[in-house]
Amino acid sequence: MVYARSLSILAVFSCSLALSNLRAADSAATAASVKTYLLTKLEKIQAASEDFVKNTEAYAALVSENGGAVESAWKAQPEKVEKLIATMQENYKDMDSFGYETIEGIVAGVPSMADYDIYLDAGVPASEGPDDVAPVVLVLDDGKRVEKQGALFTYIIEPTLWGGEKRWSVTAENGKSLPSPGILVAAARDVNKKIGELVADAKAWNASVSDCFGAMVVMTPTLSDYFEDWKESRYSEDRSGRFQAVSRVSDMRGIMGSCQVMYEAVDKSVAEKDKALAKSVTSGFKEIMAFLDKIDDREKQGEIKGAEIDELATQAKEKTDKLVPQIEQSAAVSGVKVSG
Amino acid sequence: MKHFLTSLAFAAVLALNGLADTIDDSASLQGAFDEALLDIHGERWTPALAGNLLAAQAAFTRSVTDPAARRLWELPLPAGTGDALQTAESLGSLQARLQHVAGLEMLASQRAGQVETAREWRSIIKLPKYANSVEGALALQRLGASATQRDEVSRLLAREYVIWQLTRAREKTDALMRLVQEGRSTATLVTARASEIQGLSELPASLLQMATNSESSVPDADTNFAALLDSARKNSADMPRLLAAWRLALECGYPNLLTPEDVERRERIVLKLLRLIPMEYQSGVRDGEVTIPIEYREAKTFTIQAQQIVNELMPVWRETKSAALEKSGPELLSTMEKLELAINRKVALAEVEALVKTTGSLLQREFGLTLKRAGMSSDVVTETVLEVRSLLGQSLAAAQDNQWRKAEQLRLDAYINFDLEIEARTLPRDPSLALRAERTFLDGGHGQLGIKTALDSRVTGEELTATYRRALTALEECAALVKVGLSPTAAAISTVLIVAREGLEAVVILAALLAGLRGPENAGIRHRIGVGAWLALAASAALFAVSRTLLQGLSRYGETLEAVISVIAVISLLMVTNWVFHKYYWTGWNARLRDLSKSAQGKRDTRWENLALVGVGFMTIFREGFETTLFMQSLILEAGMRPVLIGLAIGGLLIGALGFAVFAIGAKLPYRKMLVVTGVLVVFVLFTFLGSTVRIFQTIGWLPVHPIPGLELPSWTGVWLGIYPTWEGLLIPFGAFAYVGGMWLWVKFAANRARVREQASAGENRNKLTVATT
Repeated sequence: MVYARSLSILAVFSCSLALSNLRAADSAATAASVKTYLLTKLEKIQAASEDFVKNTEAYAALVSENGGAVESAWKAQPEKVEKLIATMQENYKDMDSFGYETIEGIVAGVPSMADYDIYLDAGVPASEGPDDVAPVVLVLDDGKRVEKQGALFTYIIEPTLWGGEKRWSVTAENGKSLPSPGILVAAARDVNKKIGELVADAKAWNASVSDCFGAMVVMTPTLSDYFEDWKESRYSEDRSGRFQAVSRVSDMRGIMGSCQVMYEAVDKSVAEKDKALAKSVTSGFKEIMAFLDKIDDREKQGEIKGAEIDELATQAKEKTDKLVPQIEQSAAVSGVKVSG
Repeated sequence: MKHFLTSLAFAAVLALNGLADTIDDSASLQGAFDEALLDIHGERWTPALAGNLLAAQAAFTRSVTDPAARRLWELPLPAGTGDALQTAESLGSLQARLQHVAGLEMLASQRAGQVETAREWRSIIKLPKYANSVEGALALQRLGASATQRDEVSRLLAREYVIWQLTRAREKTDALMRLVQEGRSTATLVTARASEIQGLSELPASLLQMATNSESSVPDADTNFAALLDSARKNSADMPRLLAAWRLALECGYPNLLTPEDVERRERIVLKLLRLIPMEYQSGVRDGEVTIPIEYREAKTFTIQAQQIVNELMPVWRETKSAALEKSGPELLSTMEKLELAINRKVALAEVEALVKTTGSLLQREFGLTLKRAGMSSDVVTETVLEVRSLLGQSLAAAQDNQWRKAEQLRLDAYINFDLEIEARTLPRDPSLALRAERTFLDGGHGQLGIKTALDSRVTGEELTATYRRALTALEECAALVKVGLSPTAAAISTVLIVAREGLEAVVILAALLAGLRGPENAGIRHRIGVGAWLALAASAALFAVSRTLLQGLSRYGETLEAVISVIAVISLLMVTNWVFHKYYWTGWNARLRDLSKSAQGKRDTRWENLALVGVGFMTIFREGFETTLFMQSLILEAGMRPVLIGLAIGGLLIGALGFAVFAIGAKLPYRKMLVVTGVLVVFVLFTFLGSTVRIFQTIGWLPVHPIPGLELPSWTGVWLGIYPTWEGLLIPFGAFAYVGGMWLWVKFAANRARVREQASAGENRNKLTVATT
């Protein structure tokens, strides 16, 4: 008898899901705000990438004028070189730290655009594969090929600009690290081309509520891993060449921000079905954003004790862990099938 | 400063209470807990913190309306030393209590028909990352207001809650153990975390009863908990041991939420995972460095999964294997922890293998876990193929539904089954097929994606479907090959051949023995030998039955036992071959029997004489019966009882007819010629048995597998000739064949030389005689 009742409950669920899936088709317009957000951000990223191409080419030309040696250019025109490097670093921040990272939650979470994330940001070098290897192949002006060395932003451009990758940097006499122009020009052209393709695909994207829920379900759990990375980096003295442009916390804020944008788009429809759940998820996002500010503040204040780092990471994990099933619930009560 | 902020937060809770709703209240309270914990762990504790905590507890009481929830919330906080550790303990306890209060309030509201309130409380509850929480949300949405479904919805919500909190408690315990192992723990961290885990584990009885439909008790781990807190306070080196003991006590006390099928499946999976860990580790780590990150990650994941499954099984074992749990539970848990630590430290493979072996032995020896499914080898293959097909089908469906995580989990499950039951059997028969099939589950090859690669790349449409189709085709090919090797017809024919051969042998020996005992004066002797022969037949049948029972009892050793039996069979066959070609055995055995029967004739009237004659008949037949029984065992393990029984019946009829022809009609059997025919059959069987034995040795890892590049053999060569395209599979049977053939030629050559010498010597003697005569 008990089992018969359970079956009847499940049967009711199934029917309800089937019916509400039909209704979900009507709510595609709800996701339009997410697409608008994405395109607005992408417009800025694309502009930054075009600037980046110009600046890398100017840098390469400057080096070329000085016999093709970075050190000679530095000796001859240090101010010009320094200014160009600083400009390129700003371009990078506009492209990635304050650009791509704010839409990563959407790009990486929507299946039709997920490959761009591997290419631009999340892909690893072939040596760390076979999973998620970035298929980036750069052909430098001198004919040299740089194959599958990781995602453009994380593994190539950022370490080159900040001197974290010795293969692509030159150390001047005073110890200053200067980027090699060849790799920068090739990477800049490639990133500009890829962002152009992403813009085209984003314009063609038929944004749906299901996509938004799917992206949130895929991306929100990654926050736990980011916190874990953050915790480990705080424990470890060894810092890699990556994540030097801005703090990892900024990346976390970017991803969580884009997830929050997606939830805001569906919040109203969830609240119509389950007010408490919608409120809890919205509060959850706000809490995490506030929590990121707290971590940022504490980092800026100076040393944090080991036990405190662990506690911060644990609290962050609890908050993000709770959000994932709650987003799944939100999708279910709204009658949307979740991808991921 | 921080302390001040914390106090402000508590004040805010007090001030806002009554204005905000339950969600805001609990969020503020949780925020205050978080800040207080950070202050304590950041060594900024002040006595005021403890006071604020009490105030916050009192303030939140106003939100709690259910009597059971209120009783729980108002329980006094742990008394003690009034320092940071005591506050940490109180905070841990209050965090857990807040969850239980939310659970109780949710159920009370739902049962009172207050769906919105139930939802509010439910949204407060903390969830593990991949918790299944959709069913409860939908139940409240669709059926929350239905009075007739109220009990069922309550049961569902309660069950969800129990699973969430137990999962959280387990995750937190894992994290705490890692913290201690890595030397990052502090007294406040251990105290706060352990208190929270202890609190979460003490699920309210009413809630537990609703979830399990039975009277479940809460874990009795108070003593262990107290000892752990004491060790944290004293920073004792004994903490890891106390932590393990406390964990065991908790795990044993958790309610059992698994069905018998779940238990059986998990017990099998944990052994499978253990078997895979060293394989993945070997591929992923070399000289303390990670060489293939994915393999290393899988070794780590499998270890953690194995631990989680063992933890899940603890409550079941408490009821079904309590003695084993008491005796070996702590050792099991500590070995598994050491294993995780060893993998994290990237130690030498031998150390990981040793720890896996110890864990596996404990699980199998003490807890009676078995990797093999019960049943015949062919049944196992059929069952596995069905299971793998089903899992792959589900995985594809999940992938097509964009549920990539679920699809990957199902793929992994399918791969583990395939790896252990199908690939292991395919590898010695056709390594290239086995490896090709394996790659269809993983990375693919020849420009085609494997399933894992496809899932990781989020491939969709026809490209995705094609990867599954390729894996299924490869699976069918493997299954066909493995099944061909075990086909009932082949097993039945082999049985007929063995029975015919052994029976013929017995008939031949018996006929030769009775040849000199013709005439009515020897009727008594013939009768007694006949009685012995019939007794031997009965004894052989009894041995067959006993061996069968014994083997069934030993099925957990599966192919290892098969390998041992095959070796014994090969040794027996070598003896028979020896006998056939060297005739020493033939001569010696026959002469002994003749001596025996002669001595029996000489003492016709004694009891011993009768017994000796019965013994002659018995030994003649039982030797063959024993050998036949042994040969049958490996066939039964491979193909099952039915084809073997059919073969036995056919062989028995053939030999019966021949025996009747020999003994009843009195036909003279040309047995020397027949021995040559039998001998050829024996050599053929020896050859195939050796090939099959090599294959079994490779399957269980007693022999390496070295594929012969470019060599493709049809599957029938494996079935009929025991030939598989590996160096070991070819060299060993052909080597034995060369040995037997060489020995036969040597005997023939030696005999010819002896005859020539004899003739030369006779000729010389004749010449000497002639010379002497002349």
